[in-house]
Amino acid sequence: VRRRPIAVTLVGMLALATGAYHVVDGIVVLSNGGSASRIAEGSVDLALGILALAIGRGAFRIARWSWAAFMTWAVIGLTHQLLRHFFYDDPNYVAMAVDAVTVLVLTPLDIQVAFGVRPPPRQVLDLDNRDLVESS
Amino acid sequence: LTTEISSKAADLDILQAFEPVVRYTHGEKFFPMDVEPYVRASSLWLHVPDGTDQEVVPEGELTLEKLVERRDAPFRSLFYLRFVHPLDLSASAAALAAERRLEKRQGSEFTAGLGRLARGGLLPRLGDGLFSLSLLLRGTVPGATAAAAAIKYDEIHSTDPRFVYQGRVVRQSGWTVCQYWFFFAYNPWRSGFHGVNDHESDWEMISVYLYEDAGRLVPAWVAYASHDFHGADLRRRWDDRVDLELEEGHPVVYAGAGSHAAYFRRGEYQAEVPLPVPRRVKRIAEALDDFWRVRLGQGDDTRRPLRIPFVDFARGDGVAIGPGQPNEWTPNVIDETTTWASEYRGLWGLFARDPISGENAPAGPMYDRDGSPRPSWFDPLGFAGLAQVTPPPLELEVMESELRRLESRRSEIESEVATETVQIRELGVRLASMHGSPHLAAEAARIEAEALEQGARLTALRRERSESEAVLEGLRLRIERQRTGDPDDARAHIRHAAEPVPVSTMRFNHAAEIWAAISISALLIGLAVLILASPSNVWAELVVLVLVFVIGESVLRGTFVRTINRVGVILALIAVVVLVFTYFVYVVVVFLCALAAFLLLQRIRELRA
Repeated sequence: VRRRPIAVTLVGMLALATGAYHVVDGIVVLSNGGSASRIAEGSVDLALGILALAIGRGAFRIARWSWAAFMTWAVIGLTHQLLRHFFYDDPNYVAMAVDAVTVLVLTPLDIQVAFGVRPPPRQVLDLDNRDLVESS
Repeated sequence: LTTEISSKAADLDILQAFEPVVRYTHGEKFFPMDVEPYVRASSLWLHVPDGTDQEVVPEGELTLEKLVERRDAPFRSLFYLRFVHPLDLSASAAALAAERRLEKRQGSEFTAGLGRLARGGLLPRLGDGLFSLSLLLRGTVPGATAAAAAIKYDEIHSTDPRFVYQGRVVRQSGWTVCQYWFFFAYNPWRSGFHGVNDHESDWEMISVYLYEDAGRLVPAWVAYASHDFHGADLRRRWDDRVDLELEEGHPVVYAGAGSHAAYFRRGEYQAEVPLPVPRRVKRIAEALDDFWRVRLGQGDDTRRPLRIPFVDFARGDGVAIGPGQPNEWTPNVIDETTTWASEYRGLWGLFARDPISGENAPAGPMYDRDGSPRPSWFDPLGFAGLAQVTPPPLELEVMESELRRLESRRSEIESEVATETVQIRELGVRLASMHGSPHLAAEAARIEAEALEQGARLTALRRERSESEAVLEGLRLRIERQRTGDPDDARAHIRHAAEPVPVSTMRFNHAAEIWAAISISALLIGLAVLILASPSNVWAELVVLVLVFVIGESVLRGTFVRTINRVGVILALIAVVVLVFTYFVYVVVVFLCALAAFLLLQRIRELRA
């Protein structure tokens, strides 16, 4: 049984919160109706929300795919916010900070091993000093 | 499997008894040849320090005798041979067409399989592009030279179809060393096999190390010259069945396609060429690499930064030369009296003026490019890290002598320790007797210093005794094993061994290959389009374009997880810097508050305790 690191629980909760926000926002936009672009915006919000909820759920279950999806999400978010910071206006620094934390939380080797995206470090078996009775 | 020969045998017989079987890769066009027809087909040139080159002896007039004639030349000038003369555009085109016809006739077209470019990621390919660009600035062998050389070599080979090695037997410190020098008319590694360099002529060498036992010469080691390896890593013991392949008592060599480097095992080897970048850039790259491996705990990634991977194909599926093979060797015995080896110190092919020498032809077997003696010639034992290895029949005697010396030294140490112990105790007693006598303070300080010094000597002696005990134990064990005929580990001396890389597989081999070939150009064209179409946002769009290329490629190569992680970490670190600068005041406030809370917590715990 793989244990879920606390940091993963925290970012998983963050993903669920983000997902819930997007879903609610999407539903509100869609229920208000309006122009085609507004409906499209609401649909995208809803889709992103569902994706974030799925990623959050995957993180709680430390599913292999959720690490890749989570990291991709964070990379896209960071790219977006950094480009806004350097080349355009009005970056969302909170989103930038959350994405940076997500990346840094998901990066350590033990976290990647827990998710199953990296093999555990090679272990050297001390065969010369093994307990012969135990190992037999 | 072991061949033996009388120690009184002639050098030629000794050489032939252990001559190697060399297996080349399908597509190889140049094979070991005699130097005489090569010299006859070449011209001799002199490069002088002012940058001009003069033809000394034209093609058709040069002979081995003329090659070694004494000629005066200014300091820092250089003699070199020229096998292929400068080609104009039409001659180049004709040479390339003739080479294609030759390949078809010989059936020697080379297929790289999943090529070198597809094996590395986008960054190594970008580095490779820069490396290719550096060829424009560095001196190189002119284009189509390889094709012209192949045609010229084929003409020579059709009249003189021998495969020749220059064999040398040298006796040094109880060893008899057979050196097999192979001379090639051309090294087409870059132009023919996607490798690092091309140069006119090539010298390669392998050595077999024999010891004498009861009037017989017995093989003990073989050493193959190879890229990136030195000293003991070059040699394998005769009974090393992991690496060394023997056929009827003859060592088998797998030669790299075009490079002619020698390998013990068949396969494709990855060689790395460092990018010629300033030392400061290199240090930054190493620091970042260290940060990635150590700080971020990604330690199992063994690739080194700023290096371009190249493949040396040693498949052994082409021409085979040697005993029991379709092609036999013709030996040519050489030594210090062989004039073309000892008296010609110039290059054996074109001096391409390449400052890092990769494209300049090599010098002969006795000399390096600068005319200094070649270590593998004058010190064949040191070349393979064998200077400290005793020939097996003498080993027991040497070990017993060393055992006696160490035992004698141990007795000396025992005696010294006893003497020093008595002396330091005397000092201790004298020091103790001075306590409570303030007028003896100066004398007490002197004795204390003396005791300290003596104590250090005693500690050093005890350390030496302890260490020599361990060495003695190991030595006794080794002598015991030697006496019972128990062989020690044949591979214990190897620190780094050349390993063939597994044949690469990708999800979409063909697509990966095509992508590898076009991606860098596509990226540059994409950049050009962005500059034209959206000049105001070009930087932002370039970032997105590069990220899309890098991540898209990683999906194709099956390295998505590693790549997205690296990209993420880079972006996260930039974001951290941005956030710290943007919210500097808040960061300081948060830091101070956190520090205050931490200290407060500590003190409260202390108070409660």
